[in-house]
Amino acid sequence: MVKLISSDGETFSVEKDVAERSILIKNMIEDVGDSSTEIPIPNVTANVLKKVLEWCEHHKSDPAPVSEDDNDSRKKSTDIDEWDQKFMQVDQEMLFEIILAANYLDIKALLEVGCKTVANMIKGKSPEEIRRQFNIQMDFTPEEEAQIRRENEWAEDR
Amino acid sequence: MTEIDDYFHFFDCFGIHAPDERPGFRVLGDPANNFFTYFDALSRSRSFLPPYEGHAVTPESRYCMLSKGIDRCIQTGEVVDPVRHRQRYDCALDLDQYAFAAHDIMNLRSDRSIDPQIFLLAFSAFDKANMTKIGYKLLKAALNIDSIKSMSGIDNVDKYAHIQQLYRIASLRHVDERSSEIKAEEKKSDIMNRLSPDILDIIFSMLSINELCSCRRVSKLWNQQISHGLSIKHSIDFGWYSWKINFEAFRSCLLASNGHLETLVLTNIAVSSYSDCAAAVFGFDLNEDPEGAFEYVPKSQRIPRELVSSMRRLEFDYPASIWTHLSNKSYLCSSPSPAPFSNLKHLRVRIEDTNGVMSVVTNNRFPNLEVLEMLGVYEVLATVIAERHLKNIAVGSPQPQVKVLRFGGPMPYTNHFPYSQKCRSVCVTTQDLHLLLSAFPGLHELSLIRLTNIIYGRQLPSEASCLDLQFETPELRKLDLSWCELARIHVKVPDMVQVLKLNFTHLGSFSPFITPSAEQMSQFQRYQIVNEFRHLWHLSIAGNDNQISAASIVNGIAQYCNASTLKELVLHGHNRRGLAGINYGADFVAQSYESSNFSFLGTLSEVVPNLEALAIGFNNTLTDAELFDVKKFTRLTYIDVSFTAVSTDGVAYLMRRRGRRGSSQSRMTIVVHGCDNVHPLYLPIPDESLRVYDDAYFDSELTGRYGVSERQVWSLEPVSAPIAGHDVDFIWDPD
Repeated sequence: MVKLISSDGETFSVEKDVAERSILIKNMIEDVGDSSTEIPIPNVTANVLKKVLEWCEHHKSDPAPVSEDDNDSRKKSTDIDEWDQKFMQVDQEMLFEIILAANYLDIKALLEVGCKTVANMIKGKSPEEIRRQFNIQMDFTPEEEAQIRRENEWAEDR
Repeated sequence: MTEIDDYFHFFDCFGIHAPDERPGFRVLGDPANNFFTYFDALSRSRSFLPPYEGHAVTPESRYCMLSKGIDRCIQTGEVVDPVRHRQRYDCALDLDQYAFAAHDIMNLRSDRSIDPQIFLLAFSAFDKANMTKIGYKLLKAALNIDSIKSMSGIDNVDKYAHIQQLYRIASLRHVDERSSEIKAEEKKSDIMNRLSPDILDIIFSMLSINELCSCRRVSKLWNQQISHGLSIKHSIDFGWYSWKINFEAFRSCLLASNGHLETLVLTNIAVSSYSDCAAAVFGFDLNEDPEGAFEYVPKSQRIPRELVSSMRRLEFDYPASIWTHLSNKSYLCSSPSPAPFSNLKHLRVRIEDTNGVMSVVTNNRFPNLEVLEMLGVYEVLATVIAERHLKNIAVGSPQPQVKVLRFGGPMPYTNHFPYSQKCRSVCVTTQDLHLLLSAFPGLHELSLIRLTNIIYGRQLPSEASCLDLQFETPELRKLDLSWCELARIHVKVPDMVQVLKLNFTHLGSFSPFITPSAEQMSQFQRYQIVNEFRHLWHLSIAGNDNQISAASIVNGIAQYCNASTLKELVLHGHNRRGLAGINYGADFVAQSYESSNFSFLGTLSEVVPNLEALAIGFNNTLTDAELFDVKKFTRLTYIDVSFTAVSTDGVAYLMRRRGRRGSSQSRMTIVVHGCDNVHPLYLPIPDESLRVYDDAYFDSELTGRYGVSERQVWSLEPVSAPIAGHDVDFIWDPD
């Protein structure tokens, strides 16, 4: 078992192969050479770490991801496994925390699922809808916006 | 004030206000150098000058002065003399001070002329500093200095790795101390702003070019990110548009890809724009078009060659006549700059003129091409007899870089390999094929699609009746002839083949899989056909005509295959509904394996006990009783009994055998498409294990993996993906 300490001090005991879905933690365990050492996870709070570990537990026996080069086709696909879809049904704040945690902990598959979820939130939406979805401020001048609109006119649905 | 605060006050005044107006200081030059000059003076005098005369010069004050000077330089963009860093490093008293020294040295990244030795100081400083919280933070900051990696004059890769390792160790001890105020502020702000450019890049790379056009209009940040995101690879498929694309739209789309075009599917183009688009992609010089086949596009409207140079995959659906034009001498002899297809790895051409395509390909136009798919359509080929189709094929230089060749099958409808449905058939001769294959000596995969009548050569020389793949393609790993009909020719297969897909109509062409007649034996001897499949990993033999028994196939496997290597076996029969799609050239319907006799399964389990996947579907005589022998395959993780008379009880039996002694695997995939007697509602399986597939095709490699080559150059499309945490995956087609 490996003990992980979240940024707010909560301790999680998990199996080594679950924790090692995170490349960061795996490297740390290798560096320390003693899996009984408590490992602080400074950038991840307890509620986020709990979610991340839930994902790791479910995917602990997944095969190792294929290399980047062979994996180009999957990048365009935003299909998400059914379990992962349910897993990602969280509020937006938590979704982004999971993505940041996956990035920090170097869990590529979870990062990919998170990014796919965000990509799916963007798909099929107009710029205004996307702004509303993510609370983004429109900072173009009318001239700038018109220019971009002209450049992309060909892509608009007819 | 403490003594040290007093010093700070003094130094602040000294740095900010005009130094030469203060009593006792007559130091010219910039403020930062004043600190350094004063430091040098202190070093000499060992006591402060007025107005702080009498104060002792402590190591800490020396460190402070140097730090102030260095900070001032960093703020104003002045160059710091490396000697000052060395001095500060030497003055550092505690670990935090070492960390600050190290971090400031790291921040000199923009000055490439700096002495590399100074960086060695930083690594020494970090070595000392990683124990403290400040050290940890500064290490973290140093990791973000990307250009550290690209510095010259020092072994930065190792040094960077060293910093990473220090950081990992440091993070074991320290926690991030972002203040709660900062965190609260972050929450309030635009949530996407918190994602790093790398993460935004990943998200944007999952969107189509149309969606990205929408995203560009969201905000300046998004527009900038999409324009400059390095990992965004555009895949443009005009087939998705509901309207015909004209040249102007095509051009705008390519311009929007901004040099990051990865895949271009050139289809659905308005007839009037065919030639312009082709000219744009291939860099065809319109002035050298002797027949005037290409419309004139003004120079100002043309597309910069750089926009297609990043392309890795091109699917080109054009009338064959364009290939004829492309294969003219002036195009092939021209050397465009930059080379437009230096990154192209996958080329698919439909509605093709094989001779034209071969002229272009074998003239080294695609130096890194790995996958070539040449697929005609019957509208073109129906008007041309087979021998004319490949006759006088022009082969230039061999292209050993091509690893996958898929050739043949007209395929007007299906869009994905194996392009099996709704095809008509093409006839070719073995001579033609030998000529074709001579251009691709490095092939790992060869799929001949719907070549329904591969016949002897035109003049019937004796050699022509043998397709010698051992000679033409010695490195072949995958051979798919399952959609072909070999008209009594014989095939020599390279020993290294790992995936072999055949059908019952041409088993006689492969010596191991039949019990040869005397005449066949003499043919095998005549052509010296010795096919051994010691590396075979996947064998697929579709259909059976009741003349070649399953028992002889099993016998062939026993004699010529390696029991420890063979993992997947497909022995599908032919379905009563005809849904297997196997409808061979002669249009006769295959029968099931030996009617109701599946006793060969028992023998098979002894011959290949390590089999992991077995497909015996498309037989209406396969019932629950025959599944009894399946339990003998103790390593089986996948079984396909689609379109058979297997019932719910039979499936339940297969499920129950999991977990028994001898079942080394904990999970099994059972495929039961089209089994009318199977009612999943009566099966004790969790919902998550029920997977419904409407469009799975049945002759793909069963578990979706290859052990074929180091570089997997073909796409993998598994029929099913295992679901973790459950014992049984159950695939069912409700229709």
